[in-house]
Amino acid sequence: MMTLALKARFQTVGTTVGSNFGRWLFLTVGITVGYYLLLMAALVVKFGSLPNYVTAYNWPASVWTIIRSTPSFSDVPPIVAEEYLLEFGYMNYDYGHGISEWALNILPYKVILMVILAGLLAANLLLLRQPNSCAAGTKLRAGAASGLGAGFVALTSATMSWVVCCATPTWIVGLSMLGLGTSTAFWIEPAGPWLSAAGYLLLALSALVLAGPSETRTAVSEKPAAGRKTLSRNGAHA
Amino acid sequence: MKHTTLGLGLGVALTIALPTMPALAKTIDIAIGHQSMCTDTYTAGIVVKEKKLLEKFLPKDGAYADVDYNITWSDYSSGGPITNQMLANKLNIGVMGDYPLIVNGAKFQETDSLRTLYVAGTGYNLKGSGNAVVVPVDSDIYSLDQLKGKSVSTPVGSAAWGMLLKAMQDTGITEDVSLKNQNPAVGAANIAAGKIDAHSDFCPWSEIMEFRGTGRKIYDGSEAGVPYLHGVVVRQDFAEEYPEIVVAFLKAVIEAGEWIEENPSEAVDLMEKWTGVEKEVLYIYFSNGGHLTLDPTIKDKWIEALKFDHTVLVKEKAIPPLDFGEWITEDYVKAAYSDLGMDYEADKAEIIDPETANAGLPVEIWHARDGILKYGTVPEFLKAVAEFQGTGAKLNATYVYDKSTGLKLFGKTAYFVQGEDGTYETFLRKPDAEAYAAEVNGHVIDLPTAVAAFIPSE
Repeated sequence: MMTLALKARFQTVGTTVGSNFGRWLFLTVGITVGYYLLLMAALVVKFGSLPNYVTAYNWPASVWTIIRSTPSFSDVPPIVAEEYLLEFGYMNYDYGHGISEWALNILPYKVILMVILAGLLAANLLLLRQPNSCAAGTKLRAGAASGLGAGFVALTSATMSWVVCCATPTWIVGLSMLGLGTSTAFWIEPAGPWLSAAGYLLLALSALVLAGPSETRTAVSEKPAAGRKTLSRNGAHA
Repeated sequence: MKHTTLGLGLGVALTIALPTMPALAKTIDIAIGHQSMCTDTYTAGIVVKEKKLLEKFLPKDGAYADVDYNITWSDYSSGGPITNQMLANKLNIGVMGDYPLIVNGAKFQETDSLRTLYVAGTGYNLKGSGNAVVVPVDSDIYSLDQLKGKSVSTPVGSAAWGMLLKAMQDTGITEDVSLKNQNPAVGAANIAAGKIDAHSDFCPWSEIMEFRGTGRKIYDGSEAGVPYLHGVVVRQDFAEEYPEIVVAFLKAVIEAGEWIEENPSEAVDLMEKWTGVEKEVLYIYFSNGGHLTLDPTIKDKWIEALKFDHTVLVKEKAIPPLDFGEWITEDYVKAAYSDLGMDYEADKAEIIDPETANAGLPVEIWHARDGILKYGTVPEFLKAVAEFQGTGAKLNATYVYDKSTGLKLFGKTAYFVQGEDGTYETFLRKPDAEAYAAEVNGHVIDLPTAVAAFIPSE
């Protein structure tokens, strides 16, 4: 029974996304692009300078090099995850021949994670807008959980680098920029993957909650009127 | 029959032609990551690159007879990205400071199949000079304990950060200081603008601030007493496949060091062009009596220092364990010494302590036209400065030595103590100068005041 209910909810999510695919795609791409624009804006505001260099990296070639030269396949994913595609940053030329002070790094692995986040968030937004979805209170709670989940993932997917954090992109740069103490930020750093996983879980659960039957519909399904059909695509269940 | 004849003919032709055809040359990629804004890496970085010393020593016979080398150099502002690029096998060799070296070794050992080897040092300062804490030049802070309740910035994860942590622990002010994460360039700019109470940084940032007249050292790394060193790491798979290339690289490192020691003025002049760091700042590192002892040997004391640094990193950044026995090898540097006919054990046994090694060294004036001028005593030096000032001659910099540690200092940032008997001593830190002044019934003065006494009267 429980499996059936869960399956129905997945179907509802699928139906909602399917019937609003254009809107879902627009939201997914928009949220992803918006996220990186927001990161760039945060860097520009924090450091008070526009990026003055951009570097493109041959990501496929880098991945191929890593695969060819890493004997154990289990070592490959974490190394590939650190590979850049693009880097926008600010080079300080006051000393020496220049130091990259900060940068926004586009790492394909992180972009994929962001697209998943954006896709889930977009699905949740569409579900929230469905007139016949779950009760208002549930909507509010699920919406809040969605926001919290998105926040966790967005925070831990930040790929900004700052030379003070040893110039490698790490999500705690965002925390440091917000003024969190250095030691505390480094203490929190190992929790990143867990926070990220919790964020995805919250988003996925919110989607399933939002895909649940509405109170009206539940009542209807408990007392089916003669000759009335319930439709899966409306989020109700036979 | 016709086909058999054709086949035979082709076979004979190939048999005759093949040995005379040029073999397809193999290309070996050698990718090196270095740091042009970190002086202690220069002998394995910018100098080897610009003087093409690696090319000079690369093997060209035997198995390498038909090899083409594709050497690429990548410049980074810290060691962290070098390690990431080495993990991705886009760099084979990396040169970095002690803390990033440890992170490099530990991150590789964390993987199942990849390792690096720590194959040689580049240079060191026995007491830890190179790292320092600097305050704005007009600040009323003169010692570390005065930083209680103040904000101090540092590039976290760097050697300067490690030194600062130890220094604060030693002084008992860890809980009373607000530690900020800041990069060297912004830290230096904040010091210039007086936006931060103090900034701790690695070589050569403190001296850049002093030379530009924006900052003043209140604490030198030598006070922490932990050696400050840099070194070379190589991917183990690369080292095992091409051991001769690693040895060639280390021969280049040795020759780079010798060239600097023999030609410090020329070397700093060229290094300024290569790196953009002022030659007067570089001179404080690379001249006779300078902060850096160029020595690629791996001393037991360095291993102890690296182990200590690892404990700091484990505590502060939770980095993975590091098996030092597996990571450190002297084989390659010993082979390089042997090929060059040099005595590795003799160099390994020698440890330069600036306090004794620099005792009695002449103080110096860098005359813009005449170059480096040396003076046996401080009064002779002060008299010469006074005379040059009288003629309007341009002096690029002046150099004296700290009586307490033997460290080379810019004359303009030193504290001069004139004793009751008219003798002069110079100091890095004001508290040391004041203590000595009390001891000899003297008084503490700055360079302009000291020089004023030697200006010829009308």
